[in-house]
Order: sequence, then structure tokens, then C-alpha cells
Amino acid sequence: MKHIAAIFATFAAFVFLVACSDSDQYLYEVEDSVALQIHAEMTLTYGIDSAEAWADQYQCIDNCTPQVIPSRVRADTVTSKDSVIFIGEIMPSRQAHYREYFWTLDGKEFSNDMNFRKPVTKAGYHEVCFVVLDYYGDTLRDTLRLWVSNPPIIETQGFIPAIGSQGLSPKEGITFAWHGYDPDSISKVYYKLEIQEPRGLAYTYDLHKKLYTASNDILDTLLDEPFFTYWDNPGSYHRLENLKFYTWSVRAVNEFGQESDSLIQGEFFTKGHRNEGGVQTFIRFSNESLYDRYYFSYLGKIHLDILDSLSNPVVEHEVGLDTNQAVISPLEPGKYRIIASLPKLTDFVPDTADVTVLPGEIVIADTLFLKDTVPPSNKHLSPEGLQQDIDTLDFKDTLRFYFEDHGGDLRQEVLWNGQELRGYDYRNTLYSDDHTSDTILITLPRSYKSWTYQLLTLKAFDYSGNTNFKTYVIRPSMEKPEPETSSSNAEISSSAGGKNE
Amino acid sequence: MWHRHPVFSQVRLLSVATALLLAACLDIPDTPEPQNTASYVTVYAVQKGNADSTSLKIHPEKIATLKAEVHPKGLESELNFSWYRDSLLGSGVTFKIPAYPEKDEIPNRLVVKDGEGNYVSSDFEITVNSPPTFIEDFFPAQGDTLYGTIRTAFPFSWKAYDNEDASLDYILKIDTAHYHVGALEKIQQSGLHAGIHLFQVIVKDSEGDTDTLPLVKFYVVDTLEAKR
Repeated sequence: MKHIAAIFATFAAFVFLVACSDSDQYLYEVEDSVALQIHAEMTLTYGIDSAEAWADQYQCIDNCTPQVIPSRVRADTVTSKDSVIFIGEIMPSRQAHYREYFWTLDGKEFSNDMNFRKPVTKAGYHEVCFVVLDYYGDTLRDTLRLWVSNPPIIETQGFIPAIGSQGLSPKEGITFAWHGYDPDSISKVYYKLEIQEPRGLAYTYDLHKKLYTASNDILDTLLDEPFFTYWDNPGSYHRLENLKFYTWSVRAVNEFGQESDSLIQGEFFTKGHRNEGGVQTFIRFSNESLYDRYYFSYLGKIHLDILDSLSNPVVEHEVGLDTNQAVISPLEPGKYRIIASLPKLTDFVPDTADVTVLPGEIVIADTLFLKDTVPPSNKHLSPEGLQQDIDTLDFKDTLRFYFEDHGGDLRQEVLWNGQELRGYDYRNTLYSDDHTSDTILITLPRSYKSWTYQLLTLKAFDYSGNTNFKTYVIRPSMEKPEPETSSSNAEISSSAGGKNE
Repeated sequence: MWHRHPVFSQVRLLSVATALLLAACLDIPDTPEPQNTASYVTVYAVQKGNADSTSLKIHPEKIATLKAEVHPKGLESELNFSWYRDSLLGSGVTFKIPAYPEKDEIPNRLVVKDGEGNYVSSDFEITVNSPPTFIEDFFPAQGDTLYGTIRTAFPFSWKAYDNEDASLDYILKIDTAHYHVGALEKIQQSGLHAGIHLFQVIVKDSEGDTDTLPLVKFYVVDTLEAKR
């Protein structure tokens, strides 16, 4: 009996407990649930992060296709020195129900932050995974793919041919060799080899290094070996000619498209006939801006005269202003004088260099330096157009001044009593056909009229550092006003009072 | 008179059974015999006094020996070594490979057995590689005189052959400078002032075998300098 009573009591208690619980609240309701979505991205910079923002910042002109550079990516190649920003996103919001999130790198713990910045230093392929455990224990993953590779190395010492090598023959094969490698040993290294015919040299801002400007690409190729032999090909449009000067460069590139930080830049001379030689000369100007103005025909070209030891002209050579390096060949062995001049820019004094041409060699002459030390001139132009070398002028609505210089372009400044003249700009300048003279028109505002003498200063600068500063005295342009006194005030007052009457 | 309660007799019975069980557990096993089975075996290729277990490379022109080394060491005398390539080629801790061997004379599997039928094996591949060799045809030759200036690109040429390799890798040494010239067998290089110079080339094949050209001494005479 006792056993039956105990069983009944237990059953009653169970029924009571079940009745007290509201099981509805533990039921899964589709409407109440929020489907989580996650998204992972990475970037190297907190820069522009959308195409729209980029387009807003850089407006496209003339119906061009806007260049979109997405800064956030899901797969990328970086170097081991890059600090990568990983960005995790849980949608619809971070307040959505989830238990935890974390990042893994190749399956191992990487970070517990939603967004973080960290380098991945081990070279090779990596998978960076953003993992979120939602409220129901389900796991959501989004994986980023990352290749870590450092740029290839190219050794800039110990290459063939050495800089300035002479007598290389395309018909016998010109060999190029260098050394490059991948520091991570995970990528094949390729080499971008170029051979060019240089037109001239461009000086960097510090005026030390020189970079050749190319005119013709002889060769532009990608190699998978660190050496190359150039053979003359009669069918090629651009060929290496005898006794000429060429430059070559090579840069290493790995399979990820990363280029080596440094490159080899070499130069060489080709071979000529046994009893022929040549001269290489470099030309510099005191006016550095001439290098960039080769397309202005009014500035003319560089004229090179080659005279033999008896001062008889042997060769005349004309090259563009940007072709400030020239090889004159073939020449018979002997002594020569080179004269460089700028026929259309007569302020530049011609320079000369003496050289001895030896058989089979291109001799490098001293750099020819064409210097302009002549400052610009400045004269007033009368209304009839006559040039007047005067210092004192009457005030006029428009004054005309004439500047002359034979060393290239000019730049002017106009000052009124030491201050910049209002309303004057370069558009007030008239140029002569040969650009050797400028006429500037200066419009003086009425408010500049004064009963005292005024000073008008004109400054002219050429690009060789020569200047002309000239100050004109402008005569008083109005009557001196009567000094205001108490008696005169009374008269005015009286007079006014009279009118009123 | 004492009456023994039935519970006491059950307890006594249980104690006796427990004691018997514990006594059975106290049967401590004998000390194990020392292990006389190899856990693994390493194969070495020995040639010209060099033992190599990584690349297992031999040169064909000399007799080579394959040597087995078992771990733990010292068991060789109790074990049976069999060298195979498809079929059994020989027995013993070492195996001699003749000069210029055919492929089927070189084993590629070693089986080591003990007296109880336990065995370990090792699969391997012996590489037979002829080292590259320079041909005595190079320029400049010993004692040559070259005429030019420091800017003259002087020719240098050499050639090596290798039975197995179509492409060889050369390193050129001119004085103290090293140049990686890849497969090139002639180059032109400048920068040599008047005087004595040294020239040497090292060749390496794809298996890492090398040959070195004897050091060549040559002279540069600047005939143009006096004419300047």
C-alpha cells in the first residue's frame, strides 16, 4: 500500500510542475528569429572604400570611364611588411544575437577582435577566416584569401655588360647577364628587359642622377632566365646600329606581379668598323627648362659643328633640345673640336670641347655647357610704339612696356609702390613671333591716381637666373587737394547755408 | 551457546574471495627481454669516402657502396638485410654498386628482418649523375694578352659538357667579381684596366655537381691610352 501511495505522489508532483510552466515561450518562432549574415574584407589602408566615394572624389570629365580602385578586397597579395586591416561585419547589426566571434589564420587562432590590424609575415598562401557562432550554436564562416610574398631581389652590382662597355657587336651577339632571386623561394622570378636608344638625359631635382629619356624601344621583353643574347635581326624596324649609344634596364617581377624595388640600368656602345670611331657629347644649358621645351620650334635646335685639327668643318649635326646627348659617328681617328650652339637663342654662348677619336672607340667629350648670362632688357613703349629708355612716366590708363631676351621664355612681375599690382596677369602679354620679345600692357586702376609721385617696378626673369629690375616714377595724376582748415569749413558751411536760403 | 548469524558467514565468504582475487593480481610479469627488432633503417650512399643519406647521389665512373644503418644501433649482426629492385639483388649490411651500373643493378628497396619474422623496410632511389666537365677550349687562354682600354668589352668564352644535362649553370669570376651568367657560354665584359687579370668559371648541373675551370691568368695592354 505504502508503495502505491509513493508512486501516486510522485506522478502528481510531475503533473503539477508541468502545468506551472509556460512552454510557449520556448517554442521556435520564425518571425522572431533573425537570420545572421557575416562578411569579411581586408584592406591596406583606411582610404576610399567604395566606388561611389571614389567617383565623388574624382569626377570624370568628357564621358570617360571612371577609374574605380576598390580598397577593400577579399583576396590579395601583400608583402610580409604590410600591416593588413581585417574587417568583420555581422548583419543586420552587431546587436544581433550571436554568442561569439573570432578570426583564424590557417585554422589557428588569429584574433578575437571584430576589426583589427595585423601583419601576416609567413610567406605563402593563407586563409583568414571570420567565424561567428550564432545564438543557436550554428557556425558562420567567411574566408579571405591572402598570398604573402615579398618582391623579388635583383642585384644591382655584378652584371654584364658593365656600364659604358664599348665595342659590342649585334652581329656577334650581345650578351646580358644579371642575378635575381625570390627571397621567399615561393615564386618563380621573371625579368623585364628593355633596350632603348636614348635621346637625352634628364636631371633629377638634386641635379646629380641622370635618367635617360628614350626615343626608340629596341627591345622590350619578359624573360624567365637571368640572361639574354641580342642578335641582330635585319627584319626588325628598330635595330642596333654601328657605333651608337644604347641603354638597357632590367627589373625582376615575381608571379604575383610584384616588381623588384631596384633595377639595373646600364649603357653600352656598339661596335664599328676597325678604323672608325666616334664622339659622344652631352650638352647642358643654364636654362634647365629648355629640356622640356623641345617641341617649341621658335626655340630652335642644338647645332653641333665638328671641326678637324685644321679647323675644317667635318660634320654638322643638329639635335632637338631634349636630345642633349649625341653620338657623332663614324669619324676617322684624329683630333677634333666640337662646337655646340643654340642659333635661335643667341644669349647662350657657344661652348667647345677638344677630343681625340681613336679607332674602334667612341670617345666621351667633356660636357658642353651653354650658358646665358645676358639679362632681359626693358623699355617703355610710347603710344606710337617707340621704345623709350626713360624713367619717369605720366599716369595713363594703360602703359606698355617692351622686354627683350634671347635666352628662352621670360616671366614678369609688376609692383605698384612695392605691392603686387592689382589685376595684372600673364594674359596681358603680347609675344613676338620669335618669342624674343614680350610686350606687356599694364592697366592702372583709377583708384591709383594720386597727387604724389608713385613707383611702378617691373621685374623680368629669364630661366637662366638672369633678372632685370626697373622702377619707373609715375608723375602725380591729380591736383593736390587744399588742406582742410576751420575757416574754410566755416565758408563751406556758410555757403551751404546761403544755398539753403 | 553461540549462534552464528547468517550475515557473518556471507561476509567471511566474500573476504576469502577478495583475498584470492588480489593474490591473483599479485602475479607480477617477468622483466621484458631487451628489444632485438629494428624500429627503422637508414640507407647511405658511400662514394669517395663521402656518405650521403639525403640526395643518395653517386657518380657512375666509380664503384659506390650502399650501407644500411638500423636504429637502435648494434643490432646488425642479429638481422637479415635484403636489397631489392623488383627481385633480390643481394644481402648484407652493405651493397656494392659497380662502376657505370645499369639501372637494374641498383637496388631501390631494403628489407631488414629479425629471427622472429619482424621486418622494417626502406624505399629509396639512387641518382646516378655525371658531373659536368669543362672542355679545354676557353678564351682568354692562359697567358693571353688582350688589347684595349678599360671600356673595351673583351670576349670571354668557355664550354662544359654533361651527359645528363642539356642546360648548365655557370658562374664567371673575373678578378674579384662574380657574375651569374646562367647558361651563357660566352660574354663580353669591360672594366679591365691595364695589367694582370684572373679568369675562372664554375659550372653546376641540375643535380648540384660542379666543375671548375683552372684559374686563367691573362694580361690587358692599353694601346690607345698613349694616343689620347
